[in-house]
Amino acid sequence: MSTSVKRIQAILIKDYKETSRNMAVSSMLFLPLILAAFYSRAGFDSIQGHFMGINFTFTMVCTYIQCCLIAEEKEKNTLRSLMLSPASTPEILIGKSSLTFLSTMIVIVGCMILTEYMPGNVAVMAIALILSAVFYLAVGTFLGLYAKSVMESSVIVLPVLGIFSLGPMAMAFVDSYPILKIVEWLPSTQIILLAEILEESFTLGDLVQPFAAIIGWIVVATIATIIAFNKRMVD
Amino acid sequence: MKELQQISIPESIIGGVTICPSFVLPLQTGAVTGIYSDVEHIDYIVQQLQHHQQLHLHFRKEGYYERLTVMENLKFEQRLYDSNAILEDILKLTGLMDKKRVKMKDLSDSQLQRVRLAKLLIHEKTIHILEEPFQNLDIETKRIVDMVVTTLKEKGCTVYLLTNNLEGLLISSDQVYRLDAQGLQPLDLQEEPTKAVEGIETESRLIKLEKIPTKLNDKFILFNPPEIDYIESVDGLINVYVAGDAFPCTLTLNELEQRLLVFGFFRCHRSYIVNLQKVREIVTWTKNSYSLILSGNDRTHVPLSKSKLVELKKIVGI
Repeated sequence: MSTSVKRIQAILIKDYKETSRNMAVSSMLFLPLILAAFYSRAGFDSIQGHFMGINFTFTMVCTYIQCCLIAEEKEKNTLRSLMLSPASTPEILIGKSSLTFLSTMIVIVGCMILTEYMPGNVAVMAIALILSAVFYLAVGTFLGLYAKSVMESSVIVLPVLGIFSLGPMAMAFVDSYPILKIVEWLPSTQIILLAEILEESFTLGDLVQPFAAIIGWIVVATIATIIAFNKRMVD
Repeated sequence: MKELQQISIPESIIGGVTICPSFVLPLQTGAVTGIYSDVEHIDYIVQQLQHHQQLHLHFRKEGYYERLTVMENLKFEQRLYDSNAILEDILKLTGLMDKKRVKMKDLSDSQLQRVRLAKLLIHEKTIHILEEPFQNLDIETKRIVDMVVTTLKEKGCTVYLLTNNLEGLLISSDQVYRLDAQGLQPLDLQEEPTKAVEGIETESRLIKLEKIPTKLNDKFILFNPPEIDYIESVDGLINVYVAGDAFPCTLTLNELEQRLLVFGFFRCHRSYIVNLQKVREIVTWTKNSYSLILSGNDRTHVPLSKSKLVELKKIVGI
């Protein structure tokens, strides 16, 4: 096993042990599941309803937990030791993200089972979900690097929660408020549009727009995160 | 082993007041070097060094994962650093064997410090820099610090101890340096002579010793006369002041005056001897009270008695 994989694994195992003993963070994993179960039982079984749970998972599990993990490293002064260790920047970032990534994927699958949602094309949807997760991870890392404490991190994650998971709902008012058109370009809306495309017959060309939008968001978020990380490294 | 390069610290003014001169870390492979300085200087050095890839820095306030047990923490370090160290041995050495399943947050400060020391043994770097390794520790842990440093030395590592605790430094290091505004200066150390050699010692008293011996705990520190700022006698205790720090001396003020006269020292007061080279100003407070202000950042005041003023004026040539 190469040293790089070993280091990522070391960080993953450490994060797993720490998080599993931290109730405040690990209990977040169950929130989207409860929500998904509630929604499906209440009879929202449209695409919108299915993705309510999934988008909620992205912000509540992916961004929030990632933000807390990074902020905790920062608050406890362990991020500095990590940065000074032989692990390189990508190794640290991948290692720190892998636990959140895995738990997000598990929770999303759980949500899909609970809402009995089966995408029209599983492979395409899987790629879209993975890409979205990368975006939300980058946002979480970025916010975590800016927050001074775990406490602060759980506050600054709220706007993200509002914009990205509740944003798609604003689509309903687009006709009366044309300005809400920008909501359409949120990655959370794009993935819903993608899911609607997948339900019908589609061509490869139809897939370009949602994927391009999601990848665009990833690029922006990743650049911001890397700049923030390197800034942290200097001081 | 990779060729070690000289590590130098650039000059800087810390907080607008304290000056840290530029200096090069004395490079002694496989030795323990102590640097005795104040908190500001140590902070500055650590800041300068933290991005050196060759070094491993040990911070006094290094973070830890409080929800992991001691063993899990060390295993994580071991994987991260891809080290072959045997954890059981390290736990034994640092006296953490019975604590290995205890979570970090349940440990005392001294025990936390031991975990940090254990990490030093896991990180296989050639140069280790320890910030304040002796602060706030119980006696057992102080002993462990010394043991860890010795182990590192045996492994061929170069260790630097940065501290303002001279006592611990004297026990653990091979060579001690003092860092102040003038730069890095080696401190001369001499073991306290045992009873057996005392006889020879008295015979050789005839040899004129230029250095001024001061005693700190059970070590003698010898200062070059030009290093000394002034000497003070309070309640019969003689203190030699060097760069703002007091070192008790066993000689009497009269003996010191005789010995130091040739080096340009002056008995400016019944209970003070001052190094005239370091005097910057002579201040008259009232008609009968005078003070000498020494050069340097802290502008130390030394009293000057009226009767001595005339004598001083003669020497200076006013």
